[in-house]
Amino acid sequence: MTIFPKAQIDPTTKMSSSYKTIVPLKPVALSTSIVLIVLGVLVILGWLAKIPALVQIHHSFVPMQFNTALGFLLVGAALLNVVLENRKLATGLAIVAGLVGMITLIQYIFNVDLGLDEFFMKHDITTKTSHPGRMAPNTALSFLTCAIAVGITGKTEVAIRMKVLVSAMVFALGFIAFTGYLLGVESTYGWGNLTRMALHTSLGFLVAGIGFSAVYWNSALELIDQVRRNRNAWTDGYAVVLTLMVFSADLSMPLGIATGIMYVIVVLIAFNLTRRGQSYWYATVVTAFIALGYQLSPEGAESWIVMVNRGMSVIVVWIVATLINRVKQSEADILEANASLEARVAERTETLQEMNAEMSRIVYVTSHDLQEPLRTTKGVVDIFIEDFQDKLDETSERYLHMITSSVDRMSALVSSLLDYSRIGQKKVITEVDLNEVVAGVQESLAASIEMGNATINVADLPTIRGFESDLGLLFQNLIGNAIKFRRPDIDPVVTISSSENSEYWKFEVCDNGIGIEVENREEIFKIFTRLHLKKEFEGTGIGLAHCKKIVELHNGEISMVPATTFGSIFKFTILKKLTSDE
Amino acid sequence: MSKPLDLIMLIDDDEYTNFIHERAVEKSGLCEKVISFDKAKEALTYLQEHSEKAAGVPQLIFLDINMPVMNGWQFIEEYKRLPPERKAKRLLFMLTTSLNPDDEARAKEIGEMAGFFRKPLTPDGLKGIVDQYLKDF
Repeated sequence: MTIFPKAQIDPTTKMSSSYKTIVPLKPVALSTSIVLIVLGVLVILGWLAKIPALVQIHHSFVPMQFNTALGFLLVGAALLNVVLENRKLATGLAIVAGLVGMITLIQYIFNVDLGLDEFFMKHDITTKTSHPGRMAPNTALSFLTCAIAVGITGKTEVAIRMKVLVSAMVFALGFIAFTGYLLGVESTYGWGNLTRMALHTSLGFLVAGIGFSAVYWNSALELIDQVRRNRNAWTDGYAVVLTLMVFSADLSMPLGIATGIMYVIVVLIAFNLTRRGQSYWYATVVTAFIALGYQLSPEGAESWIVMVNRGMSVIVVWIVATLINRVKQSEADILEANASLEARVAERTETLQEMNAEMSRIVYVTSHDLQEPLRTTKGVVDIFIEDFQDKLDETSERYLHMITSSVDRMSALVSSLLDYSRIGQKKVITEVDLNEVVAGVQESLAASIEMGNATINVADLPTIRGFESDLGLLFQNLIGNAIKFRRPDIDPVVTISSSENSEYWKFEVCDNGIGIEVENREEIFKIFTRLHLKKEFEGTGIGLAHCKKIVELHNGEISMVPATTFGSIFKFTILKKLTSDE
Repeated sequence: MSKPLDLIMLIDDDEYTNFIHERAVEKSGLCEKVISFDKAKEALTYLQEHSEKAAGVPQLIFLDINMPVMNGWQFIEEYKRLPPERKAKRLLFMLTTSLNPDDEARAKEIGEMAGFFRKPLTPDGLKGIVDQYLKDF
């Protein structure tokens, strides 16, 4: 039983100490929300105070529309409230921003004017603007995505995956437009001949994407034990970002340059996934993007080169996807094999334990039942002797005595078998002072010690964990044997000593008796093995089998080595950290 | 001087054991009569048919545990349902070969049982029981 230090189970420390992130996610989320609010406020001020630098940065650039600025203000405030855990307020703000985006999209799609574009003010700057005051379609889509990012709640794996994915999408939408400005490719920030996304709008969504990612990674990491499960979510997020990055790079370069090959990196990310078959999904999506890039990219090389380029990209992507799936499959196979192996081991162990228990029961019942006819035989012989005392001669009395003594012997064998089966049954492990145990044994062997004029030398012995009565039986058998198997005319001397290493207690019981041949050193521990005739030395041949079983019960080993001059040394070990499970 | 006990009942599936025990009872000189059964069911029928007034009710019963058909424990379950005057007056001993701790625990819960007696039954053993439990008879 282990007692944990208090600090470790204190719930207040658990949350903060259970995860460590390299990036301080919460401060990042907080500061991005501030940046968004400031951006929104500045542009609104720019419109109201007529400061073109704030509205469009450069006079040839598309302005950030008033609604867009308002949208950033709303999204920034929503993000701030997500961080501060004002769920309802955050959702409310996000819904407004999302509505602005959605209505704008509806206006584009159905070619209607619902009056939203210049609802707040008349726009006097209309550079690269299809409808005055109307935000770009990709901006509108981004706001809708932001609103969804705030709107998803819950701590389930699906919810967290969705949050991370949507956050990545916001980032990617901003990133695509921004790279367009960097590389001077208009098609990435302007769709068709519709209103373009402003430079600072694209930066705004980059920041918003970072902010949402930070806040959701933060919330997911708080449930540290879920991180592994959510690995798929992170991976999907990375893949989406990377795909869109590659896509924007693809669009910004003329056809014929093998940008399509970069999609392989996206598929490689699938290697991080735990699910099988996922790499094929990635490959499918990436293939679609490669095809799309073919449609949208600026004209370049001759068409057959372009086709070969694209085709090869697709082939490589699918080869990589297949390889990844192979690896994943074999990983899964190994896991499965391990699991089934463990299950089989558990099953076998259970069967063995059942068989062991059954065996003990059989031995117990058998030896119990065997006593019955023996006792009856003895009883009948006694009655016979009583009734026919006068008629018995010396020979018949001797025969009857042979019957009785054989029965006694059988009876002793059966009861020792019974004792053997009972070793370690329903007993508890306690702290046992072996000095006391050996003293007790000496007391119960007092008669034979005195009669045999034996000397028992006992070194100071340790207190160990074990089964007390079994340990007593162990020493009783070893000391008893040492006295019993004495050399004629030499007084028995038994020496008991102990030592230890980090794992085991070690004991030695040394005698000066008749000794045991080395070739019998295994045999002697088998049940009912006897090396001597009954008339030489009495015994059932179970004593050392008992010892072996007791030592093994204590997770140790017993062995015999001949002493250098004469006699034998019995060595045994006992596990220090003994538990009752074994 | 009459003997302290009128009747002892022995129940053991081993007829030789019954024989040895019968002899021990007779030799002890403590009991007028001894009846033995090798089937617990028959012993039960006997007890059901003999009321105390009919003077056939044993004062002591020795019961074996392990028996075919109806074992000692099952016998006790039936025995509990007998009307009081039909129960032995009224000591029931369980005969055992060696004491199984499980049996001992089980026996403690049975009020009808006076205790265990380790086989074999001997004149001295019987005398011990009479001295200890049956002073009043």
